[in-house]
Amino acid sequence: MKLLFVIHGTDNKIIETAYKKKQKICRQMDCIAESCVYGEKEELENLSLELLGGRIYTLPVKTCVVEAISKSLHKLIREIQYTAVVVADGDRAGELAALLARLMNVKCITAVTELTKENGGVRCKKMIYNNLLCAGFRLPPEFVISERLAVLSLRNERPEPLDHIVLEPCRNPHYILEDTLFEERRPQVISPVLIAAGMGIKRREDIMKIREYAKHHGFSFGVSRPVAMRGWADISEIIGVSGGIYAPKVTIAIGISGAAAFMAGIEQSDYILAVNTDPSAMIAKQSDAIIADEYQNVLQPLFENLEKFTYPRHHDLSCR
Amino acid sequence: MRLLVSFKICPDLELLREEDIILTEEMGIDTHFLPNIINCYDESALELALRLRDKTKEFPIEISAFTAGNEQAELTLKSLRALGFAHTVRAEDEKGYTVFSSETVAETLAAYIKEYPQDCILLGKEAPNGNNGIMAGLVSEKIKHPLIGPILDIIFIDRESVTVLVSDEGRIRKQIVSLPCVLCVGNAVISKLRVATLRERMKVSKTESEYISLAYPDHEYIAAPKEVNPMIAKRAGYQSQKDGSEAVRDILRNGLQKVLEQI
Repeated sequence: MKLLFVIHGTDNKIIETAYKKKQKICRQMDCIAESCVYGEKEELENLSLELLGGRIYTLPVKTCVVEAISKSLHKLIREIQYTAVVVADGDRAGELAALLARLMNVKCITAVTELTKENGGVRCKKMIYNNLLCAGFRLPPEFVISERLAVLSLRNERPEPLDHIVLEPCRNPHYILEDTLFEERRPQVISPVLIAAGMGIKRREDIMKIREYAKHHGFSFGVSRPVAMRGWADISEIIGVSGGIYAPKVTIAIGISGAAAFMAGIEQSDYILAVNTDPSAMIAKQSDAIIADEYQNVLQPLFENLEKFTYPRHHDLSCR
Repeated sequence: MRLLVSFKICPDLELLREEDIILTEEMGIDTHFLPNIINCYDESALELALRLRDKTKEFPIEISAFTAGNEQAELTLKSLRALGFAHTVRAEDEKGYTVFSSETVAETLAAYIKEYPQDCILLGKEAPNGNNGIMAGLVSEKIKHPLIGPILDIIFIDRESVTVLVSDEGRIRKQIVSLPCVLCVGNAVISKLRVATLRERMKVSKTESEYISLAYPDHEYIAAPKEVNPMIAKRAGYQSQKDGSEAVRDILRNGLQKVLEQI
């Protein structure tokens, strides 16, 4: 199997996570993977690709348009004769995987959470029905997937020596008449503690209080998508798919049901504590502990104890 | 100008309790007792279309809505007609075949668009049943229109182009894209569909949707599941039997303190 790992390289945090995922894939597939990192020229130049290691192709793009990127990638795939492609999780990962599958004429699965080699083919799993069910798939050895792997632990291995090849830039397609930056990424506070608020929080004022508490103590703060869509939080505070992906020591999930899209953002936490009045909420199975009580009864004693154990501020300004 | 929004009706899975999960032969969950909702990303797309129509004064925009499903979709389709969707189209799928088959829905939608060309097609990013996130890409590829997304907002449209805000891994980009195109709607600034008034509903009480048959692709690239199982608990899931501050002390004693001491 000749496997290509495709990554949208925006910053070194992505590259570090990509290395962990590449390790996991290579171990479970018993193969060596090469990588292709696409992104804006200036961003690619600032990446520490040695963190990823091995053979890396970089593909400069002007605008991230899936159709144009898939054509450039397909050209590389045909030239090097890759038989399988894994697209790293991101805003456009599923669409890119589906387009590549059609170009390569192979089967595709998106948002894969596990994959292993089996009987000459591949066995994959993904969560469906809002994390309620786990679906199993079998693929032939030629495939395209987009991944949503959790990488809780990292084996202490050094990346392979870097072999970097720059590809011909991907041109902007003719239908993009204009493309300008409207808003830059907001640096997220990366702390060992993440406080996440969900729709179980009944009042906007309570969301604001929790946010203020987190900010004051230098904790990361985020919300589930419905909270932001309600206008109680900024879109940049969304946790999960098409939001922030976190890997803190501790996540306190308050009033969170545990939908798949959200859980993707916190499943790499070392420890998850859920506060939810419903002890059989989806999040219960995905947490290390759950307090089944009204959050108003729990937050003050919980935050007091968090303060005892954590330093006042943990700041590591970094972007997703 | 013609704008079409494709949407999916889904069971409200947030209301489903673990003990009520019954697997079906079609490798899904029996959800007949759950209320239905519009997939949240599609709901944003529907409202964005309405707002675009309302704020574009230079020329009329005819908006249509498309879904694949059974009769349960009719109430929503009627509401959409009441809100001003000129055409509501349902691809009849009484057996629920399209719950997981994005490619069949995309093929059917593409066939409809080829017969009734549209300047702009809006679809939500993904739906909770399959969590695939590929419909917009499949439709774009089948009708050979460019795909732009995930969209956060549609600012402006004229006869030749549309101006949108696009999410780009945490950044927001403003793009002007020539028409026709496919817009994939993500975490849009507008998330809730407006509600039709009684008067609006009465105006369309005698109208009906258009019905079409499903169109099946020659070849399916998206693999179908071979098995489904209830989600296995990935973590300990220790549940405190106490309340309030007692519960917090209990959780600390049973694991949390050890983790916090490592910080």
